[in-house]
Amino acid sequence: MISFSIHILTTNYFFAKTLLPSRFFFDVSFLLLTTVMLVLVFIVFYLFYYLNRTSKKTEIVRLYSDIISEIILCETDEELKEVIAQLDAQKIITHWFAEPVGRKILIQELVKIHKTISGKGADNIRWMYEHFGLVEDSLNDLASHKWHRKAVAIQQLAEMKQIKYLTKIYKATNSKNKWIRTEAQIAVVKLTGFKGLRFLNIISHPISQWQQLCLLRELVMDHEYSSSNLKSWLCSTNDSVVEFTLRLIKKFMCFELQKEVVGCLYHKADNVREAAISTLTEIAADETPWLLQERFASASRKEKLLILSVLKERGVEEQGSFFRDLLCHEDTRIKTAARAALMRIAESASNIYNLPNGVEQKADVA
Amino acid sequence: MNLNQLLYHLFTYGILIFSLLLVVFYILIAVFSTLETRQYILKNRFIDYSTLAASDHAPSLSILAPAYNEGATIIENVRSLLSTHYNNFEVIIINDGSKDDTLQKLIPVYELVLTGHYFHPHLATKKLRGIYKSANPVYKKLIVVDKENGGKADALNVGINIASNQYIVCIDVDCILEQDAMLKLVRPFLESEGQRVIATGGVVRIANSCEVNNGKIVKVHLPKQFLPRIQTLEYIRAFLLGRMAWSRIDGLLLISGAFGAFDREIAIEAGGYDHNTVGEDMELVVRMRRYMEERNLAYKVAYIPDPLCWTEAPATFKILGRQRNRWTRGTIETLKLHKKIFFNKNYGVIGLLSYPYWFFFEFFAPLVEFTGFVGFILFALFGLIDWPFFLSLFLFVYSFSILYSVFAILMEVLTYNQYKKRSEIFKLLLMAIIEPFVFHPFVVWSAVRGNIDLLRKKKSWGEMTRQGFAQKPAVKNTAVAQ
Repeated sequence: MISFSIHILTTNYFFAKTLLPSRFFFDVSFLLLTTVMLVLVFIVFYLFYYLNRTSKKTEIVRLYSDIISEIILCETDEELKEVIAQLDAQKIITHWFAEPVGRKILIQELVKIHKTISGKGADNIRWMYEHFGLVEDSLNDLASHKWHRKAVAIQQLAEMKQIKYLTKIYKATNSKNKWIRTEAQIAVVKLTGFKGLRFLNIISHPISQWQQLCLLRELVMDHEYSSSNLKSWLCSTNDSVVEFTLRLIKKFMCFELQKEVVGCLYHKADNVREAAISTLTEIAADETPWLLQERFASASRKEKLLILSVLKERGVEEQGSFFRDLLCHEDTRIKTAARAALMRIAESASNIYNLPNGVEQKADVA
Repeated sequence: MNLNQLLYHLFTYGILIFSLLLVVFYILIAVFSTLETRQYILKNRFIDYSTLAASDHAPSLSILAPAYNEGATIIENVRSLLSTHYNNFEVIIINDGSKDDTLQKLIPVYELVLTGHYFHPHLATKKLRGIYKSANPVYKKLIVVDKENGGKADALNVGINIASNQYIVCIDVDCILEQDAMLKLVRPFLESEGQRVIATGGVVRIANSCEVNNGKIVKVHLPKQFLPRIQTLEYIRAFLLGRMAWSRIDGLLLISGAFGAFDREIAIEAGGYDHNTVGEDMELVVRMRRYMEERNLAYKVAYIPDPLCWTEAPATFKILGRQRNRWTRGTIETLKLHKKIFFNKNYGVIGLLSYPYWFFFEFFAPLVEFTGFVGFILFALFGLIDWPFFLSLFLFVYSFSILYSVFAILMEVLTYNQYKKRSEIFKLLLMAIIEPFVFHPFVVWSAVRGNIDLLRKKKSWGEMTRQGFAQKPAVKNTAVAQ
């Protein structure tokens, strides 16, 4: 609620009058009203320009969509060349291909469509991107001093799988600009999969949660898992690298790194310890519930709650007494979580009771 | 200089400095909001929200929607919430002791059955009557809570208690959300490096006269009625300029109660919504910020300029007056509850800048203005006014107010451009011209009445009659606290 109370000045005119002559206020008012008029004229022209630009863009996009559809359907190089030859004969298309706006829209459309298709169609899109020299446009943007143009260019080159420019992109993975850095990191992973994660060896900036989600998406999509560096990243001095590695271990269920993950339960950073607890849910071994129980005593409140939520899923009947002790805990949230875990284990135990004869019944959590 | 002269000069220069500071603040707000919005829009050009929509790792959300006598539209409202474009969420409808058939309508449509939902009452609330879940797996994300009437804050606290997810999104059940609203709202929580984002908010827009189909805005129009139309300009100014500027310096004290997301853990630790204020939305943000500041924890309250939520604005002076009266009382109550942070350097930006701004220019300004107006009439009656000078000063202030509004319109056109017709822009300009004479005095008067009502210890929300979107019948939306 921003009140528009500036005109209190009007009611206090007799105070201001002692300081400034009325001529001054008339002059300033004239200046302000002139600015209002100028802004209005600008808005009118901008709206005209906007509508014009929007309709032009719609027209170009429609034109391109026909061409792109034809290109996608081509099955051989001959067919591609034939379609291109037809395009060369159409003046309107060659006109837009030569115009910066037309090329910009073409790149946007190609990138957008490339994200949604695969196989020969995607190959054809990339071929078109290279054939019309649109790579040069992206490289020009990459060389720009404007961070947003650089970031978009990196995204385009990566989407179009321009692996020959990997070195240029890789240089940006530790850029001072957050957005350039983020896009470059995603790009190298998109281009080279797990190998691209080598930037984790040198990165000096933290990796945000958002960035971690984006990287995971790229890694999961179509790249083969490789665990060669995971162990060393778990020892990184950059806490966010350790946290991300734990996420990778969880996602790809790297059981062989269980010991190292347990080590992370005692890491100095809160988020790493929390990620380690969460990771152990997926790569739990027989001793995991007991390790978590052992960690519980010295854990922070948040970790304690997290451990209890993991134990709710992975706890064993023999831990019943541990949960029961927590029912007297002074912290009500911990008490509640312990009760929930106990109930869950009791539920599992009752399922055991329902098993056919011969199955041992355990009464610890009854 | 005798005592009378000293008092006269103190008052005179005090008012002058106050007014000049206000003008300076408005200029700074315009500058900061421009910088912040520009950066956001450039950044948004290459952000792919589908990453979040499809990810199993997306943070979990609990959408809390209190409902009081919403029987006429509740089915559609819930359907709209369930169709939210997000992967990992639950919807909790809190029936706050409705006197109509809100709950009875929900039960058969969503195949609700009474369940023994297990939760811990972190926050004290009024008594619960029952928790319902759907027997149909299609609606597995829906939880309906029936409780005794306790007001919006109490209903939201029940929602916080029952919520099982990391973040809570508090919304007015009759608001219309953009398809990607949750994705955009959640992103700031994930983007932060080194700071914990404790709350995020988005722009609320006015939906009167917009075309609505299946719970979604299909075509945006400038409201046809005068009051909603003038409020459209006011909202653009407040959300696109004011809040973005405060967001730039991380000094936001208010996230709209109509649509905001909060870190559930911090909300609980801070004590949840306060039942004793009618400005519970602002009060919670201030309290959460205080909680973080007092523990020296790095944090941020984020804000995004995208129009994410559409709401119906009051169309009559009666309803508008009640709303503004309540806003004033809510502001004063919050400022009073947290007076400790006033010019307290231990609270950083909020102590030295945000709180004083709210105190002087949100709470105090209408009172100064009203006093000045009464004084002006008296001086005029006694022939003490130098009319040429008055006119020059009046023209200056009036032209400044129009310029500020026109700048807000320009920002709207250059960024989200919701009103694409030139005629709509001119209508907005017309509102900017007449607002200081028609709308603003009424808002000031409502604020003064809010002050009086607060002194009389009035606690009610006041009845908010809504007309409903499109051709829907009129709906009574009464929210009465305690």
